[in-house]
Amino acid sequence: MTARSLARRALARLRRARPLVLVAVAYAYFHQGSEPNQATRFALTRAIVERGTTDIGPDHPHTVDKSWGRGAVRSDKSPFVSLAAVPAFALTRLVSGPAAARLDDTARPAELRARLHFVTFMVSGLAGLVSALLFLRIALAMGFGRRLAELCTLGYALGTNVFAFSTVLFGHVLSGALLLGGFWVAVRARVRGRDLTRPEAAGLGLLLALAGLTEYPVAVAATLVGLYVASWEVSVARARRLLLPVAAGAALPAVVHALYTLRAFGSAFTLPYRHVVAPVFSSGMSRGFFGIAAPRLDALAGVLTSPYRGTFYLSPFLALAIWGFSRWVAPGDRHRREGVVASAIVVVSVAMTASYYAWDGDLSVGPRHLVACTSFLALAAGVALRDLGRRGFALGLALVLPSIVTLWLVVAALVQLPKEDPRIADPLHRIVLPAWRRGEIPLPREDLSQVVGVRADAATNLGLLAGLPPRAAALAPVALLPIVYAWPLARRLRRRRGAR
Amino acid sequence: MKISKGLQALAFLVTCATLLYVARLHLAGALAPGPSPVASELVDLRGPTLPRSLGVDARGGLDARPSRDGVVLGGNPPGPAEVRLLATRRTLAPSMIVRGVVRVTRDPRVEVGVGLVAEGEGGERAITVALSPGAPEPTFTVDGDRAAAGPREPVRRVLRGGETRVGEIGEGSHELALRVELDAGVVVPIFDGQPLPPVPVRWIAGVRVRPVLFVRAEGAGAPVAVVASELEARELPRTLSAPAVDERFDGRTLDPARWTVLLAREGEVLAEPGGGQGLLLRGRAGHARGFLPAVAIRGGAFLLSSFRLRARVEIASLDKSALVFGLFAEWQLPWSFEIAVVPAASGGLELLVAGQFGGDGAGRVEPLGVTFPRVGELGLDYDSARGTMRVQVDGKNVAEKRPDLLRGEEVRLRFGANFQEEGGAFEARLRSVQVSP
Repeated sequence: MTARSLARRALARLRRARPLVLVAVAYAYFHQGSEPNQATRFALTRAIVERGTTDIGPDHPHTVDKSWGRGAVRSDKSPFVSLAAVPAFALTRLVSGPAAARLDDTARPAELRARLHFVTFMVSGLAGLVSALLFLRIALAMGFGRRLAELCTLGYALGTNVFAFSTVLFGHVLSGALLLGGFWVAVRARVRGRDLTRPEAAGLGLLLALAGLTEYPVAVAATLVGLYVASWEVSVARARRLLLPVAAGAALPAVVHALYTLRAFGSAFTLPYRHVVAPVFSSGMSRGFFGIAAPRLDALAGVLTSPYRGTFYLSPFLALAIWGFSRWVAPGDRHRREGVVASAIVVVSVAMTASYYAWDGDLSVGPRHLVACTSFLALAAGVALRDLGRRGFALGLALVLPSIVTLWLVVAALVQLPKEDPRIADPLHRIVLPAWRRGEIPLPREDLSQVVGVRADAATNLGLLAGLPPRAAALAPVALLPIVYAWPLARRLRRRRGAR
Repeated sequence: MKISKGLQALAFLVTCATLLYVARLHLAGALAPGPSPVASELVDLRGPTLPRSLGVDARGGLDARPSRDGVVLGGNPPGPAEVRLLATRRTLAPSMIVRGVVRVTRDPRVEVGVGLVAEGEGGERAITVALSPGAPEPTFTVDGDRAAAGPREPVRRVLRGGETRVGEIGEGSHELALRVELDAGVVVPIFDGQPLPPVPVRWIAGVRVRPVLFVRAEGAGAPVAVVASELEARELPRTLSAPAVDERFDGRTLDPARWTVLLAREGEVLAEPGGGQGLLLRGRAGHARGFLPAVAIRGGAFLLSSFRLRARVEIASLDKSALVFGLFAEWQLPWSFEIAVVPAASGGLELLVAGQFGGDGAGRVEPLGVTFPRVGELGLDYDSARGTMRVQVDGKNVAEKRPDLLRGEEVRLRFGANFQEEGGAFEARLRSVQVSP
């Protein structure tokens, strides 16, 4: 193989990966600072790395998201995001050297910001990127065609609140990536017309269990994927062959979780949320099952169409999913079973979110509790566009672009949009756009993670750090778009001229 | 197959309708006037029927009947009785006011009140203020639960006489309100626009509450009839940039939606507007020992960005006390930046800067070495791009500091007076406060 052919192959690979390059740049570019949800996760990471404990006591004044267990303050979140952040956090300590080994060193705020930025990208950003890659592969496997698959991938990764939550250290994107990973393992086997191998079954168990233990409500969606795989063939022989590897895969995160809760709360069979201390949370969590009671119509409208937290308001292209699901589950579709499980995941997730006392996610962009199932909504929207043929791409472009623009405006300004009256609030038009008009982007709220010594100026982006003015800094990565797509466009034009 | 086609057609229509609806919402959002939404609900209680949004909860022989002048809350109860009008459920905002307009009688058995009711798992929680207008002086009772969740802790504070400075109440329409200030951890009863002493509470923003207006009657007697014409719940704005304020203090009362007045319970303190003379601030420490905030007048919350503040002051006397102007932010620790006018050793007045401004979050007090006239204008210019605060006296720059408060933090304006030590006293008039973003 000559150097030239190698270079060609590398270029071709890079060309195929161009939407992912855009996504990676966008995810790495923005940093949102912190707030209680992230602070409690950072605090646990720091406690594990620096003190070898799960007690976040020294940092607890900086977050309201905390629980009480075995005589100490603990994080009220699942430990997996904090555990995922451990290597990146430990690496920043190694790079910074012993002099600045503690994150509460207030002498170097720019350095601290860079370290937090790095840790967030290494967990949420990479999880979002992996989600985008999996989404692209599933879309191609479902016969979307390259162009449409890329468009839908960009729509999913940059035109939904997956973009927003890939720039903060929450668990939604990581959990969503794990869920989609499990779905991909199953879909890949189905597309190849075979059953799961044992290693695949172990991987499926691991991914689905980890998804459900990273964000507990996602356990229901993970169970649906498991049922989908189980429904392929119900036989004793198959159960004997696959059940053990699935259980072995699932046992690993379950054991880690049990060890964590045993050490932090004194029981292997409890959840951190059961021990929350803030009355505002404990009163909410005490309703129904961990705060989930009967669905409410106002919450349903709130998470779907409202200007406050509506997913279709924020990402109009996802509205195509309604029609897309009707086609995906229709008898004629080759991937009907996948359509059934995807629609079940979306319906159950929406119903659970509309039943949750904090359906709006407090400080959030759109309905953050739906982030993990957004990939299935976006796939269904893609099915609608796929079935429209050539017109589908044009319609997709017309709906995906405004979605990306909206999310870009929001992510550059403020992801932790405030809690407001759901009936009248419109944070996009009342907070985000005025901030852009004033040039106050990012628009920092008070940074509650004083655990890391940074206060209200923690939200930033790489352009600002490079000294660009706020609006230019917020838009700088958009310049990549023509660069990445210039070559294929030029090639197409050349071909057309040649044809003439 | 037919069912599937039908479902697809229906789903297609729903998709189109959703897209059109979302487009319409975006258009409405883009065209809607006003920089920031304020959640507000004003229920006009006058009319031939009860408003549909209103819930009525009556027991013991009192009821609610509609009339042209308002809802008549009354009856002839044989014993203790209560009737409540409950407005729409809403999320409790950090800063909120519930007000009712009522025509009261002077029957000492009857109480009229307004407030908030939260429905939780462990039963109802409430925080209300009730007025009993009986002669010779009215009584205001702040009553209910200290917090909306957690262990129950009742709160009850009766305000009367000198504490309220409200004289005999005439018959006719009056406005009774309860302002909730969660950052400060207080509720402030307000009668006819006049704030009464605040009562500490620990309610938390985000709780689902219903505004309530109620009438209670104790024991048998003559028939009860209280006419309520308005019930309003208003979320007070938390603007993104500094609010535009041009306050001359020429009204009879301070606008409770704009300012929260906190008065020390010790000593004798007064913050009284009116008479075209500006806001009178007067205080005598009495037995108060050491430093004590005497009067604090707090503005609405906003996200710290560039602003310009001008305050015209006339200082009649200032002894062991300070007049203060500035900003504060309350998260878990209160941070502030304030300019104080204090007595100088030479007998005149001088300026101090107090708060967090050293870059390390530590509290500091630093004399500016600048004299201040008895009648003068104090200016504060905050430049968010540079993070600096310029101090001016009568239009001249006298100092520049860099507050530790950062751009984008939620802050409030605060002015007032402090007793610096035992025996402190002050008397000053604030002629105007102007703020421009």
